[in-house]
Amino acid sequence: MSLVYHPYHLVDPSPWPFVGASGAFLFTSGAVILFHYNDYRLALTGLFLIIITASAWWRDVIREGTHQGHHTQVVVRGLKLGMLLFILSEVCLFLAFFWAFFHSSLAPSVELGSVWPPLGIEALDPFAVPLLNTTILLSSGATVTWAHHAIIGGPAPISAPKGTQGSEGPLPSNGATTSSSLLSTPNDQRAPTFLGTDFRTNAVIGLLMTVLLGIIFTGLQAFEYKEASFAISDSVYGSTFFMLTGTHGLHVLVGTTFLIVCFIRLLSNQFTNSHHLGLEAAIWYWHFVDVVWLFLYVFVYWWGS
Amino acid sequence: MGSDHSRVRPVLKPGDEYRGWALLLVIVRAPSGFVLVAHRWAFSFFPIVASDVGVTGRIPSASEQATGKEKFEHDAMMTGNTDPFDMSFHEGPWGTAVNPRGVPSHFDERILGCVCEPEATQIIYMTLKKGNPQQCDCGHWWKLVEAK
Repeated sequence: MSLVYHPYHLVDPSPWPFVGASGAFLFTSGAVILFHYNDYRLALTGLFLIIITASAWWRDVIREGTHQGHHTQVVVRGLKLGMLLFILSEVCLFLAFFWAFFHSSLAPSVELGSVWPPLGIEALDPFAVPLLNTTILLSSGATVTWAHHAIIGGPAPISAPKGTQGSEGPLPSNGATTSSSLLSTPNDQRAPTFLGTDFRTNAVIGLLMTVLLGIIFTGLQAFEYKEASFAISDSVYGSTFFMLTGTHGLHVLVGTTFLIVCFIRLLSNQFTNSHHLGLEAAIWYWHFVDVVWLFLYVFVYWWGS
Repeated sequence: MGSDHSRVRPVLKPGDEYRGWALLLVIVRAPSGFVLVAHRWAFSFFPIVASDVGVTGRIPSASEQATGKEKFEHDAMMTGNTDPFDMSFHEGPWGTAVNPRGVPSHFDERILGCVCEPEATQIIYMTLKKGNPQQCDCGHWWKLVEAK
């Protein structure tokens, strides 16, 4: 029986959990080999497998959701819960690194000169590039909200589908027979506009600006790393600083990639006004990265200097 | 880890100072070109859903875009059916041997959970098979009927 009469998505067998786990294992052990023997080959192999898994697995999810229609409301609820739990686990990760930072900075040991930043460390000026980066990330939060609202308000008002029930069986395809009644929307139902252009263009511009701001942020952070007078091996200050900002920077890279994928999906009209879970997850992730940066800025860059 | 930390800086040639401005020009001009290229690229790699129903210049709605089970659910909800997959709890009259409660199923049997009385603290499960009406432990009568 090919038709199923329940809202759940029973997934097909997939190689990606195994390939991803193999990649994670190889990357972890490869990183140890990289650090101890300066041999990057195993780490690169693991990283390659992880990237392959991420790309192909989420490609599969897009196929299952957008193109096969498996993402019913109850499935969407599960995916949302999964994303929120994932972000919660990320919060715990950053909490651990912040714990290390406060442990070392609130009562600096005598080896550091009993001061924070430790003697000899020239901390970065919090009111230079880090402040600029704060405004960049906050602005990107605004632009992504702009894009999101443009998508929600996107379509012209559509009347309820007439006669789609009962005539074609329980699982109508997205074919011409079903959509013929939807095509005949009156001409006076024009798409809403904002800033002199339609909402779709607004969404495209908003999301593109978010991605560009994310890339600028990463570039400025790379510049800061290059200009910093201390390294990760310079006392516990360097360790906590680069562990925190480095982990955050990696998350910015991942969030930017996530938003770029959403940008491409937006261009290929995969998001509807009521169902754009990939974008919502990307926005949650982006805001999470944003909030982590605010904590980083206030405590590590500002108070910590 | 590297043995040589010294950096070799490239020697500036005449005209190099203009490269920054050229880069700025590329950045300013890039977005429109990038949108065009990305648009073409996306459409060539990703199967187009929206064009099937002719959506251009705006965000499609779920009525136009959804497919498969999602479309089934969406269309049912648009026509007023809030429980398209029959997932909700049913309340109703006591089934008797003469007039049993009908339980819709697409199959030959369905697992049935009965909360026998409002105060009951447990659900009693049974397998309802196609054919004659069956009685659960608390006395209700059930009959499997063909689901539409």
